[in-house]
Amino acid sequence: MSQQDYERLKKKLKDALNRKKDIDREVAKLEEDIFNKETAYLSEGAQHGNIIKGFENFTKTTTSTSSSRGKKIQFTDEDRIFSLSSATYVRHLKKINSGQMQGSLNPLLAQYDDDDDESEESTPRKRRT
Amino acid sequence: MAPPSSAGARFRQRKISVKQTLQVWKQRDIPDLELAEQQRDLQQIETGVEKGEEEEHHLQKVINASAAKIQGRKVEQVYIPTPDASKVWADADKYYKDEFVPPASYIKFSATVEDVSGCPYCMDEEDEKFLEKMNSTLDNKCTEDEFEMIAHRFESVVNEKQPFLSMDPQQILSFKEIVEVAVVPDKSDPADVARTLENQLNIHPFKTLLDAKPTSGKQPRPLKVLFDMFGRKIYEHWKARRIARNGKPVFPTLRFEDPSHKDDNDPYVCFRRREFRQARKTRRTDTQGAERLAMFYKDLKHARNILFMVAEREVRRLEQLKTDKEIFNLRCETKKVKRELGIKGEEEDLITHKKKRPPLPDPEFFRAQQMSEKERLLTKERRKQQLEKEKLVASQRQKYQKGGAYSQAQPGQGANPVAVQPYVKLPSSRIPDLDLTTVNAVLQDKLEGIKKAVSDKLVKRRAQDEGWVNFTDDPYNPFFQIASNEDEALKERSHLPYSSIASSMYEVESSREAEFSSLLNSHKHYTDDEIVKINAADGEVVKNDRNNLPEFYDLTGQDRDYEDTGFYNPNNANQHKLTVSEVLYKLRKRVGRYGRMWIDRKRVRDDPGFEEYLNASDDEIELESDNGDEESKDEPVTPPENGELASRKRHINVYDSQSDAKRRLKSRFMFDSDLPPYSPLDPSKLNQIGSQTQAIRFGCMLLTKAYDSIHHIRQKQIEAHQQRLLQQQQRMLQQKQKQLANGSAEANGANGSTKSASPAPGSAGEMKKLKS
Repeated sequence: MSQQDYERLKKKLKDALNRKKDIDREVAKLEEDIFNKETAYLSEGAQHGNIIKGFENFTKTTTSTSSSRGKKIQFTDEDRIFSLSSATYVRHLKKINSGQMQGSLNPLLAQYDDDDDESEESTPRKRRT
Repeated sequence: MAPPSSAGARFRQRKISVKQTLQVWKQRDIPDLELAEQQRDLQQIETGVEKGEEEEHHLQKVINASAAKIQGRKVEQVYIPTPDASKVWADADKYYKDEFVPPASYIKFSATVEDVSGCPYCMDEEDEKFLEKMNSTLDNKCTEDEFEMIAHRFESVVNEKQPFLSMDPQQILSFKEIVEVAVVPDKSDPADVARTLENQLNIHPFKTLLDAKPTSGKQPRPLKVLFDMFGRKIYEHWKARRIARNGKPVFPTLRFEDPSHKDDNDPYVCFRRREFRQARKTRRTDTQGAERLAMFYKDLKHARNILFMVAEREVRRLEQLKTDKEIFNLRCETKKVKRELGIKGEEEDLITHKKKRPPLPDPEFFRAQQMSEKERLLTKERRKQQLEKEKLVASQRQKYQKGGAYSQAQPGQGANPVAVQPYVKLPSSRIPDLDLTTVNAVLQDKLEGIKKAVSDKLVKRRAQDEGWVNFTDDPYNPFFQIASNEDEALKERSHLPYSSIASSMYEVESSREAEFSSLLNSHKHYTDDEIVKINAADGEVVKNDRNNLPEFYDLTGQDRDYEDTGFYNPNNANQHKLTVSEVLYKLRKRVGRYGRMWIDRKRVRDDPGFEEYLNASDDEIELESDNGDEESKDEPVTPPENGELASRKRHINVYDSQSDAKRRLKSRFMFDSDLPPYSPLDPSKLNQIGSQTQAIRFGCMLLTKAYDSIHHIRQKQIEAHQQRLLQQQQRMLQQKQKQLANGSAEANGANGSTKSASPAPGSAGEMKKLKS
């Protein structure tokens, strides 16, 4: 082991950290995008259905009558299989929601409520010199 | 007209009309009426098959046989032949050995058989021979799976590109042409989804849970590699076979109906088209269908996009986890090296910095999702703005992060750009910006609050009492603090009145307007006769008139003089001070000879007269000093030498001796403490809580205690009530059971004796019911 090795390791570590940062950002952006698109998709398909709820209304011939409007499918968090299938995003949402909205997302999110800082900290917190 | 074979039931009766000729049958014309009759009967047996199939050979045989049997003829048992399913194939285990683990839940499966059975092309013997030959010349062998993959690709490409190859098989695509198409996955082909995803997501090899296990146990190499390695050779082989088959696929496929020439007689057509009349449709529904399909297509496309993003997210996430692990390992290694080399500092990369909180998306955004369509439309505009805002924030964040990365890229400076938060459970942004509140501050606040409340009350009270002097009703401002003396002195509770006087000590620290201290501190003492009563208002000592003796204090604040006039003269305020005495006597109870009780009374302060009295007695003591020594020790017992001494000296009877009595008295007063011992420090004093506050607190305590005890009692009552209810219910249940038992016993021995214990009167009705 020499100083050179150390420098090399340090550089490697730095590279890895930078890479991680990039990936983190990418993932965060993707998750955000998925959430937005999902919202759009779910609200768009409120009339005829979507791939989660099925297309039962799709084959029905009644159109533009008041009765069909009443049968509009309201989507819930249960339907958010795209965005909420990511544990990290669920945590992210929870963090956001914990301050502002109580309840709406929480019952579902509660399932994922295990440990708050598990993956971000792959290293123990204790500092040793 | 009607054919003779047709059954009568099926023959439609027509009206006889003159316009139609009727055929006349003669008996000899009818071949066998009885047989026909029979046949008609037979036909009426419900066969359960379609009419057209009733004529089926085996069925007819069986029907006839059974009919013959009914008529009593001996016939062999006939069966409709069915395939034999009774045999067990011994080799089945050899070929079907995929172990199946039944899941805990129901089996959910949406994939088709084609999805999970791997490559649809199956090698036959010819292929096998060829592959063996080919592999024998190669070092790098091609597996059967790989051969099938390649061959299947050839087939699918040619099937797609040249659907009418059978017209002229020689025009088959060249290897080069095929490869061009074959390597690029076909997006629209459902069979190529995996490969499409493989390319788009950049995952090699792309494997799903549905993929069949490779038979050789080895994952086949990617298609492109395989084409490079074996493509040309296999192509030649495959091309020869395809041409030999007149351009039809080498691998057998299902035969479908050829719409151009309908041939119902071809038994190998697998799925025939079903003919049914088209329902009439209006044009509107036609267009509607098209619209719907377009919508459906859009929907599916959208969903696919999202799914694709999800897939990408998962890939990224995998990468993320991998980097996480790498970082962890690197850190461990670096730490080790650092320790070995003894390098200090440069630790910013070795610890995980707390992640920055993501920018808070506005709650509006979330609410919008919960809103109905109309509202959503309304909020769309707003949301757009918010999205823009978010973007702005995100870009700023990126900038910031870039900045952070930049500063981190210069390790020489050593400065840590990210402040490390001290360990707190709260996220850094939620730590309130407050000073720590100390217990002291809280206590002080509390104390001040109490003080303020008290003073406010006092002020209020004073305002109320304007023009009045209230001496009696002043509950929050006690006149005296009565501390109990040593309790051992009070052996007899019946003497409490005395002892309370004896142990009374009056604290006049800050008592209202009355200046008790002046009276007490004057050291002036009043003799027994002088003081019995003190006027509370003016502090005057009222001479004892012996008649109303036990009245020591008059705290009504009114002199007898004022009682007559009925008002208080403020002019005399200075003069008329409320005063009070200090402890007057000390009382002590003791048990004397023969169980006699003594109550000693002692002045608290030695008055000059008493001193004088004692001093005067000293002279006498001196005179009789020689014999007093012994006698003073033990008064009641006369020592044996007493008589001698007495004879020597002047004979003074012990019981008559004045000096002796005085001496005894003095000694007693010497050993008894002059003042009652001060009560031990009150905890409230230790806490520097004023006596007034303490009084309020005490009152509060009493109240809460009272409330608590009431609550407690109430709770007990409720519990007792519940207990009682429970018991009652149990008793009822028991009774019912008993009744039931009795009832059943009674029912069992209904007609027998009635020796069972007579039931409770209330159960009579029920028993009757049971019996009935």
